[in-house]
Amino acid sequence: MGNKVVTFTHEQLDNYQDCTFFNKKEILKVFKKFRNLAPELIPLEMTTPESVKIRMPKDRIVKLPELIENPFAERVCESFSKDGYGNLNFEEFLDCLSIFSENCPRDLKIYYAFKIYDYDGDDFISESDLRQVLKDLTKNELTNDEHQKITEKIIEEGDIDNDGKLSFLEFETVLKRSPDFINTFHIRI
Amino acid sequence: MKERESLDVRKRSIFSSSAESLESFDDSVPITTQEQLYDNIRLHKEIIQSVKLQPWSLAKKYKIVQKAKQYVARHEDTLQERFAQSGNTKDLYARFKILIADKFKYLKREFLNFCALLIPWEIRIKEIESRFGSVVASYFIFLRWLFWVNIMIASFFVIFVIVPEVLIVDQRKNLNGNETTRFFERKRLLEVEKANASNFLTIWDFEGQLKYSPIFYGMAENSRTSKLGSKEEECVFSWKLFTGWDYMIGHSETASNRIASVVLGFKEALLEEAEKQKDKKNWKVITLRIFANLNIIFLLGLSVWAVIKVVERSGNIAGNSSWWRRNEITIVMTLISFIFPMLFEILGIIEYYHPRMQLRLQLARIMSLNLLNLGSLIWALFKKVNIMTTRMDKIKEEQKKAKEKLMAKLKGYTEPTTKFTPTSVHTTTTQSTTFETITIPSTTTTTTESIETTFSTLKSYTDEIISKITEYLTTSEIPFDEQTAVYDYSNTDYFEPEPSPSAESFSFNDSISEALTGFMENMTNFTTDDYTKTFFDIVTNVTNFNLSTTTEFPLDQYYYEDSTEYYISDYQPNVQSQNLMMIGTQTANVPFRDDPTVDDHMKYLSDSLITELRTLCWETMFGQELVKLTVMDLLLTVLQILMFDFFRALFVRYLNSCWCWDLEKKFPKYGDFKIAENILHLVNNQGMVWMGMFFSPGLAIINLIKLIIIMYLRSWAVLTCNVPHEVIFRASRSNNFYLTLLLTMLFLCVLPVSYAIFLIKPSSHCGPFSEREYMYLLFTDTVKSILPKGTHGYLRYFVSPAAIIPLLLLLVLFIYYLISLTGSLKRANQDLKTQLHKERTEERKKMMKLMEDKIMEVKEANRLSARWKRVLDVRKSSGGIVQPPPPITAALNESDADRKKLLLARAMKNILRKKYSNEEESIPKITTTEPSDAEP
Repeated sequence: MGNKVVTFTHEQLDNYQDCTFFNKKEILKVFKKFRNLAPELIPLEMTTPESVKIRMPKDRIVKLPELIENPFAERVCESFSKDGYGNLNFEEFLDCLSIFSENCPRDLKIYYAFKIYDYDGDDFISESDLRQVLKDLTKNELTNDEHQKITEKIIEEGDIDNDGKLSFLEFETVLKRSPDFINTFHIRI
Repeated sequence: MKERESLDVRKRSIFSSSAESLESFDDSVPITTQEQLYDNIRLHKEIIQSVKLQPWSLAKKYKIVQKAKQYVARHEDTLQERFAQSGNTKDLYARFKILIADKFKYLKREFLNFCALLIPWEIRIKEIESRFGSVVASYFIFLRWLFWVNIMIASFFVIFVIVPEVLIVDQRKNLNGNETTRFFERKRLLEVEKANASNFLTIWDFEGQLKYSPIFYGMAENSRTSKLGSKEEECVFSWKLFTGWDYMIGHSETASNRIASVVLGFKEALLEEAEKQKDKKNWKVITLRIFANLNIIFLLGLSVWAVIKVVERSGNIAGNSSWWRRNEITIVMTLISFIFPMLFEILGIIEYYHPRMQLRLQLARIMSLNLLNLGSLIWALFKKVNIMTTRMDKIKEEQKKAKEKLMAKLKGYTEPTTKFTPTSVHTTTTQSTTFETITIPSTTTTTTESIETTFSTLKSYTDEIISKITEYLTTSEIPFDEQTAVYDYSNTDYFEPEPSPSAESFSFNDSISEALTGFMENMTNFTTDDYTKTFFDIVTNVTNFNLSTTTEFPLDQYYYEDSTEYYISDYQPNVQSQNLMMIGTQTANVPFRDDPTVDDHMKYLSDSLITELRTLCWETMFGQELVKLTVMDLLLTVLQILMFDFFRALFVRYLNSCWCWDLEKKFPKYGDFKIAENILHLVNNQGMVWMGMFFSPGLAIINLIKLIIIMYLRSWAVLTCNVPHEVIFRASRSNNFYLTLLLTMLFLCVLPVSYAIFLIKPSSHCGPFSEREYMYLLFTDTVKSILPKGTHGYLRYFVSPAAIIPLLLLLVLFIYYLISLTGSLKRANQDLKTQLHKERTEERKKMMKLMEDKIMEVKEANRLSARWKRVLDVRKSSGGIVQPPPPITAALNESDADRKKLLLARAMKNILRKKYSNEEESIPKITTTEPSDAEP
């Protein structure tokens, strides 16, 4: 890459390629997107300490055109962020988009989908999680009664061990049979 | 199996702990053999390749990759070059393959997107679907599909009927010059339509299959796709929730559409759910349903009664009665089709069915109502056609009679010329000689032997006549009654006995034939008052008469034409003189063609008769009626949309603030999309087109335009003025139901058309069928003429009941076979479903067991990791490598492994299986620790 300012070292870029589903060009594109969110925060040089240390605040990330309409944008940030507040450094951001990319296999996507829909982070999708998902997805257009019915139905459909919540395994069984998941859980950069 | 599992576990533990383990790879690791090094490097390479498949944070992956790369870099140069190279090429090839696959995937997606863009109105329909649900969208999809069907039909008509027709009309115009243009300018549209209809009839039998095959093909396709779409879904709600949102959406409008559609989807699904749980045997509901159905039967009976009454009344309308009487049928029918559906809707609410069922019942009921309307309309039309054909027959009969009479007269006139002289002699000698001399050449010309000589003689005779007439006028003072007596003698049947001057001219015309036609022009001024004056004019005219224009006349035909004309003038005594004038002008200027068709024939008729004959062309009348209906229907639809949707919405929206009640919530509200009525409107309209295009092929094009207008108008109205229905339900299999309606319609529409082809006499003054008894005879006659005589016997056999009845039987059997096949397939389907259900419960049980195992294993793993730690601690002190994985990671990986769904495991399974024996030695630290731990 013939950039004048060296954003990444060659080694770094190679390693990113090995760790994600992107090629060099796409990685640079992702960086451009990342930097455009807050040019004043992000230096052009993105070698080792910067790529980890500089964190983009969550409220900036959700402004990303790809995420701005997404009702789960905050959850996406939180799922990929290590600090637990949804602020992402570049590597996390890259990882996030890599997961949503086309080449990412379904099983990996399901893993992160589970993380996203698990609002309270207890490794189970409980009824309250489902209700939260439903609320976010439908922008509160359904009545409480309907929420109740829908969550009941979902638990009924997916719950295998009858503990009243969906574990990752159960979640995976449900989503694996869905024809749409792989098409919808996808962000094109 | 167990070995493999343990292998997986081992491998995993390498992997899961590789981040840590790799840290401790260093040069101090004793590498005993080349083989071990090879495997180690290979393992690291695999790690590098598949690390991205791990659900870890990038930082962790990064670290692993870094370490692995370092290791590989450090040790690779010690490897043999050959291996490195082969590995590289392999790697390159793999990369290339991946690249190609990626590109292909991307291109495919792009292509699909592009295709979606090309489908007309796709975006529009999607938008409507997201806001109003799949039912309303199904209307538009149906409309779009109808549009395709009509494009096919219309292109067929344009190519095979309209274009040839236009070409022919143009040719005719060029050939005939100024005179025919008069007719074409005046009657152009009518002419085209009529000719089209008849042309279509010509090819109907040839192209019948062509016509229908695309339609049925289209239907088959449609039903197939809709069947695929309506398969039962397993985890409706979960899928809706977890895959409902499309992460690709970045546009706010699309996003709101998506959300709306998700909400609607949930509502639909909830409704389905509620329907499943509904109590089936509710006596109250059943009584209500019976009540509603009785009411509906009563209403249908009422409408039948009303329609029959009205049609009966319309049968005896005398001429120009009041506007109301003339439009009674239309008004009553419109009222019925407007009011009754509303009543049906109210009754449908009582029935307490699932909305989809309700919609279907509603559809079926309105359909039967519409069919009644249409049926009575057809009945009325055929009644009219019958009247027309009988009138036609009467005219033909009279014509024939008159012709025969005239022919007989002519025969008697030419043969007994010798008798003629004596009788005329006793009145006036001068006249008798004139007639004698003149009639003889005229009969000779009838044989058309030597036209030139005939005309020269004719000329001389004309001169003679002129001189005789002049002589007669100047010299003889014969009283009128005597004069008439002569003419009466020769033309008793044609002329009124009163001594009118026209009678004289007639006699000239009749006897001298074409030689005097020109002078008839001058009879315009012919009145009894200035008899002498005009007669002089005639004389001068006759003298100047140029015979050259008439040389082309085949004289025998002329006689034939003449005879009908005379008959006609007799038939309408009021316009006699005017007719004669017309005949004069036309015969003088219009050259005869070799085979005069009916149209040409008609040119010699009076205006009023032409108009009458034109109105008697029932094919055109039929087509016109249906075109009118189609266009009227479009206008009404537009008006209805504007009135009931647009202006109502405007009114509700803007007057709400200054009204005493809430307009939006209470009375007028916003209109909702009346799906049943609209679907039936389409079906009805299509039926009308199918019936009418037989007689006016342009109807298909009109319909195409109509459908486009409706498409845009309706979608616009729906999006701007309508609100979604309160109860929204999924439109599964609805499309098939619409198609059933459409097919029924098609079948019913073919009936009257086939009736027309086989049982109604074609009108004799338009279309090439005029000479045939029935339309279909054209086909049979052509086939007979083409096929050799020997095959006629077989042909007769194939169309006789002897062949047709067995064929019908075969069809019935085939239908029976198909029905039983469907039944067995259904049963098989049911069996498979139950089997699947059982499988699923089995799967669940297995899953439960796995879960328990998993929990056990997690505990085990914890214990293991503790043990590892111990071992590894020892090892580390002695330069060991593997550090124990953190328990949580291990647990996670453990659970993955149990399902055999771990990505790593999958990616490496093959290699691992191959390498199993090697690895035991190649990674001694792990292999030694693990089996000992895992298999105590």
